[in-house]
Amino acid sequence: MVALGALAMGSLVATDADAFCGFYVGGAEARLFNNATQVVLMREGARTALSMQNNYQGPPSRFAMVIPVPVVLQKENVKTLPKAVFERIDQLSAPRLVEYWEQDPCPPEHDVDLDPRILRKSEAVAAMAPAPAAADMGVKVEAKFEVGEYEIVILSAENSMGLDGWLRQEKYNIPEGAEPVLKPYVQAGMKFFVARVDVEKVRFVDGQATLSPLRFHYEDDRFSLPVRLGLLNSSGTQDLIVQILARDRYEVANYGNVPIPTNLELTARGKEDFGAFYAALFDRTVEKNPNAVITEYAWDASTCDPCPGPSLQPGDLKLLGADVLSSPGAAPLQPWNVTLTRLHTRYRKESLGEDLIFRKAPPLSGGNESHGGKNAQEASVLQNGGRSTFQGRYILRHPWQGPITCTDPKLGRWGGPPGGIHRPTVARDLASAPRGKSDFPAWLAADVPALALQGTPPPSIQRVVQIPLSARFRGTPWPLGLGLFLGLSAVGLLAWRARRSP
Amino acid sequence: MTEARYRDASLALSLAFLGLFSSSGLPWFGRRSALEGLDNRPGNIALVVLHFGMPLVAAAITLSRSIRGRDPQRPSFLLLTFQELLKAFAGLFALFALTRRFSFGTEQIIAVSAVLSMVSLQAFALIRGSRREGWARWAHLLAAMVPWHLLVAGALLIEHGSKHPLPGPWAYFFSVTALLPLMIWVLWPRRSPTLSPPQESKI
Repeated sequence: MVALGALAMGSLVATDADAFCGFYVGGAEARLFNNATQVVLMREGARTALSMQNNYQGPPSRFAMVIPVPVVLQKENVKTLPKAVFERIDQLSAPRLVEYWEQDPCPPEHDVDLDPRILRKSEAVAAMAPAPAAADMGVKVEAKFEVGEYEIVILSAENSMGLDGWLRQEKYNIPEGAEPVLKPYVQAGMKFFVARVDVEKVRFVDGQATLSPLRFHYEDDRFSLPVRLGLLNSSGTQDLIVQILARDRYEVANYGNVPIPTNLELTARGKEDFGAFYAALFDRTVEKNPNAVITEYAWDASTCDPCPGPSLQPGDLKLLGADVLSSPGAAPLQPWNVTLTRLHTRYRKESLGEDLIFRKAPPLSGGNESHGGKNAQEASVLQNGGRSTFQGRYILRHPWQGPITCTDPKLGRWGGPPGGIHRPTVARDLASAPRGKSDFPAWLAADVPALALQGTPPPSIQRVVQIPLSARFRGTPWPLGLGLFLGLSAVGLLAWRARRSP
Repeated sequence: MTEARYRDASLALSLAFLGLFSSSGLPWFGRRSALEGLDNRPGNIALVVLHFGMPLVAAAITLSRSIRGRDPQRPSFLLLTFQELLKAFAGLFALFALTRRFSFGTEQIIAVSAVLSMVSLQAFALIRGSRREGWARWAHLLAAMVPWHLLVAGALLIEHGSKHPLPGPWAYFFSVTALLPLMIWVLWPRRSPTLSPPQESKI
């Protein structure tokens, strides 16, 4: 089992934030913040590759992240990644606002490869003998090595008190109350992955460190993500978005699972406030389904429809762990045999009793344009197999405003904007989306019975019909009939003349 | 049917051919005409020039010879016959490629039947025309040009479905269906004015 704890600095301000997969500790009385974390898990058999990207806010002094892991990681198990892949995967799976005009749409793709500068070889550091003081505390340094800007130490501890004491002795500020939360992880025999950040190698932009994303992989039968440590310093609410790449769709086993209502028709106001709308919709869904983890996306990783950006490429999957996850006799993990699942949960300290444990789930479908039928707002589980095609999709329609110039108009055919291509808008940075605002009647163009939400249907469109006379003769029968009539008339004339001629 | 009637039929066919040619200048692809919509590919342009240009040549010869009071001569007949044979071979080649590449289904059977009918009708008109003289021969040549356009119009109709055609295809359909009764009129079995044995007077 992997445990990712999040102990932040003792004086961390309690606000809504993305849950941190790991905790920061500073070398001094510093205030450290994490304002965004992305976690991508790739699973094959009993192997898991965990990739995470954290944004750090705090003084440019020496600091560290501490993450519980199930095994002693070696240098070859850890690597840094380029950030672009997180951007891509988040964009691909985020809830999206799709706009349709009464016409037609399209997307590209490009490959990503490992950034050689980031993947530069780092020298292995000889295993350090544990300091006498550490041994006294029951803490052992299992391994030590460098990767990118990180100096990594893998610790094992006999008891949580010892670990707490060791970290304090090493001049790290541990939040009050950390010891009881660490205890179950220590008792479970977990190791602790301490990644010290060498500030000399980190670039700071506006006080925010641009840390390289980290990836490590391990083998463990249990597929879980311990998140309780992340609440140690927070009295507020945290958002956690977990992206899972595996051959199957995944859901949580120890909490409820609810797909986000999808295919909701929005008004222009809904588009303007899309972030706020989605945050309110999410909150309403959680309110109706307390403690549930929301499935926001489950789709074949190689495709999307409509695509807010490029789909995942084999290079992306290699970055996220496909290069180290292989099952004997199974085809290598490729975007076309992998499902990307996006799970989103929002919790408070008191509402989260257990870490998240994942399990395989049957494919899910929903959030697709139904041609001719009504677009269902609720997802459907595909019990007979198939591939997942579920997404949180919100629709703004632009009815045809121009005059109708034909005799048999086919209304209700929706596509891209006239003469252009439209990319869906995605809801990003949901943790910082404006909350507390709930104006569903102004945002929704149709009711959502499942959440007891009422929308405001758009006013009926005054269609202007201007059919020119020529349009009345446009149908295929007209040229065929008129031509035949003309030809027969000519033949009749010829026959008449032939008869009259001597 | 007398020579004068074949001349009249040729004139009527020519007028329809002019309509057929003028359809090429009307919008076929969005706002672009048949020629503009070919992306300047020489092969495509050659095909369209042959397809729309030859009816114009035939109509021009008919009108000019008619005004001069003379019937079209054999070289004109041979020139247009040659290009009609080219079209027939192109049709047969396309049919050969179609039957080799795809398994047989209803659509393929329809396509084979249509192309073989087109080639047979064309061959019939050209063979019968070659055995006649003057306007009768010329009218048969013009009639032999019609099946190809019927085939193309049929293919367009199948592909087009029930959608409103653009002005180019609209004019094309109009002209081709006007040509159909005239073709039948010319090819209807009747005695040749030139090659049949001389009529004996019953006086």
